[in-house]
Amino acid sequence: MTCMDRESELELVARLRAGDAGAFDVVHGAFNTRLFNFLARLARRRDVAEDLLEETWLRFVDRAPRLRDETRLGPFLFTVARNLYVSYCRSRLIEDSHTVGMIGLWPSGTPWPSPFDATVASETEQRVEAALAALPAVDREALLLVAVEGMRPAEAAEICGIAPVAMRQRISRARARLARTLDERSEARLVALKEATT
Amino acid sequence: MIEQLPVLTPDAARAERVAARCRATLARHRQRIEAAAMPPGPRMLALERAMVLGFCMVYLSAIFLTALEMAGAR
Repeated sequence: MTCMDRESELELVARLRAGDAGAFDVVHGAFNTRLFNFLARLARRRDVAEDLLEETWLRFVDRAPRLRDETRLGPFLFTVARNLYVSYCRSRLIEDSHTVGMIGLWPSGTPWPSPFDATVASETEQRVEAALAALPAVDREALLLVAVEGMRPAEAAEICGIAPVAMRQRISRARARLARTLDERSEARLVALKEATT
Repeated sequence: MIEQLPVLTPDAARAERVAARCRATLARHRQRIEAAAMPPGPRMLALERAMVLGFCMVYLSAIFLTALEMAGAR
């Protein structure tokens, strides 16, 4: 946890269990943007991320009275958010299998600009965002939790429900894939630039 | 590079609406906790005692009636 010390966190947990709205505001302020960034980059759609974020908070307060004394809020919230994203993917798979015959009726592409297009300023950031979005979901979530959110691999492993060793392997594989994707895209751009200038 | 990705901002108005719903849910939890923690009042205590006494009377009457029936059967 990067934004509050353990003592304050334990106090917040106790207050949340007692139904303290002030404690909720502190937790919401500390995690809302972080959770949104995690979900937006995982889902690659702003509207889906907003929906999942809302559901994450509603589930959190629903479970607040049953929080254990030693609960770590960061991993707890990210686990809820990740599980909701996984459920969303599963429901979308089922939905897609039912609607495969009607797929031609749907508009192609995403109807809203992705969060990346809307907010990314520099070209480098755009390239990193695109390379990250191109990674498989399991690699992407590992990188988002450890490299972007600054969690320890053990915490990220707990969130993803895997062993810490497996998480470390996944992170190293994801970093390698990201680097490879970035290199490939840079080379492709250079080739295109050369062709355009000759 | 990945550590310095730009921060995406969620919809502030929606975030506030969600937070308000969460606060309302927590307020309901709090009321439930407070109600459960409150000691029962004198009227509640009297009612509890009357109910316990009533059940005891019913139980004892049933035993008495059964005993009478068994004695009559002999």
